[in-house]
Amino acid sequence: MSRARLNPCELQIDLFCNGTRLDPSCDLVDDARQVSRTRAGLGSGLEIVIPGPLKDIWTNVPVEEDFAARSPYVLVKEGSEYRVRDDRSGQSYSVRLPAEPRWYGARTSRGTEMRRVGVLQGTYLGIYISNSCLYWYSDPAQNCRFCTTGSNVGVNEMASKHLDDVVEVCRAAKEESGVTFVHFNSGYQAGRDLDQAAPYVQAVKERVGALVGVQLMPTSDLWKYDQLIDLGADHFSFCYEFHNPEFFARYLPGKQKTVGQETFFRALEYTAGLLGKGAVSGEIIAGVEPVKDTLRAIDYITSVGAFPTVCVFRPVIGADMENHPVPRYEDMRPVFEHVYRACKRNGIPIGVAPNIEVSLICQPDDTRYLAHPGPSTWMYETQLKFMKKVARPIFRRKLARRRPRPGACTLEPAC
Amino acid sequence: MLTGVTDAACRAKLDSELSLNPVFAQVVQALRDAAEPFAIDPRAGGLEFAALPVATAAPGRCRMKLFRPREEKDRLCAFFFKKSNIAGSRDRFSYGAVEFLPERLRAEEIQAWIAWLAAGLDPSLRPGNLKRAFLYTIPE
Repeated sequence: MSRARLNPCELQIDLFCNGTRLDPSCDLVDDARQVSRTRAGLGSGLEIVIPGPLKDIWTNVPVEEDFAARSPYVLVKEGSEYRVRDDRSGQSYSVRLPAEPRWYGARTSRGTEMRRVGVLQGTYLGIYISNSCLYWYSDPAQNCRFCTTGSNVGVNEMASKHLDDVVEVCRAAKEESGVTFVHFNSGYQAGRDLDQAAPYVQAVKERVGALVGVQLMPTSDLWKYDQLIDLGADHFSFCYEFHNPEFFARYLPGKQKTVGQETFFRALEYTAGLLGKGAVSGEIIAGVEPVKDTLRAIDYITSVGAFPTVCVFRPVIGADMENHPVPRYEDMRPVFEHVYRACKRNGIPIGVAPNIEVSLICQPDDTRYLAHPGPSTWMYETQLKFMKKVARPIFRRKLARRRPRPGACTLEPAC
Repeated sequence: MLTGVTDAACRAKLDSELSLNPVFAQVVQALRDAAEPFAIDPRAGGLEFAALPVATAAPGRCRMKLFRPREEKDRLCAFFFKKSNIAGSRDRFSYGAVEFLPERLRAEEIQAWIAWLAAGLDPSLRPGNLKRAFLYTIPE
């Protein structure tokens, strides 16, 4: 069957949906970042970079799951180059495998292997700060059905992260890998979620100097967000996963019981108001709920000034939804086309922050490859270029270390 | 059936683990009696068995590791996982673990573990008392 050649974003979406097989010619031990599930099992794939004229696209390609073994794609090594070949069409795409950072194998002063504290997922550093997620410890388990967090901490990564280890890993990632963004996430911590993150946020700001993002269970104590911002948080992301309330309740029993979808919305709206357009994200999974609900989610998220982080559903090994069907490319492409359209309509700055490439998702500025040409697109792209220029000194300041604040780092309600 | 038990490394591994935790002998015997083939991984920590042919996974990928989580405690653990199929990766895909006291281990329980392992760790066939989150580190 003849199949048109895909642009880099389309290839990324198709690879998320199908994964890839690995040809015996591949030498991943020497050429690639080790496939690692550190950070609670979120990144189970092989990191590749798809070069392109607008931008290179970082992609975490499924390779371990059973569906990847049936993929029409195969990664092959030809000489010293890697290519992804589509056996349906015979099309072949040049890709790059980012090398494993040297610091992965180094140890902190406390003797902890750095890769077991945090990993690069694209060009940013992801660290799972907490001691697993409490949903996994209830009986019956209340874990999100697509997730493998609970069964990964203690198996592939340190069960708890010491503050000094985290600082050293962030420093190494900044100095050796040029990391500009550190993203902390955590599972449900029974209302102590933001409090637990506070010391890490402050330490990275004062002892390393980086943009800091926080992805935690939301709280209705909205004042905590003001205080985390005061400590240095630059970004919040809210994983509410499904816009359709029935899917939210069915697949996220813990979030439904303890937090509720509305709390996600209120926190998203509040922090977007505090930090301004494009600094906060709403995270959703595409490919499980009906596409029309995903499109509604994208419209809602962008309407409040946030950007949509849309993950293509991956039936991860060991998850309750391991046998759930993988999404179809034909259904996913319109979703990402809509991401660009909605960001443009709402004037969301995308691709403005320096050196933040997220491999687990098709990020909004990746979707520039799907834009329909025309005056509104030209206008938006011109605005983005301008914003990038204007924001440069702001980000430079944010990447410098902050002067240490005296006193203990705790979140307290204002008197 | 348990293949490769005459291999010197497997024999030595079995002897050392059974001397530390004699109750594991019940599991070894059940694996010997099973219709499906299993193998011992002599290089792994604890006592680790791989299911050889599984329809849904590559041979040797589905595994069960028997070990003692905390030296000072009697409680033992059967940890179920899939091994990474990527060269050089140490990742393990956990399906959970059953914790048990040696004197309370029942033959039916062992049979259920073996059947699950042989079925490729299908999530719908999980043992009822499976724990899926741990506060201890599982040995490699």
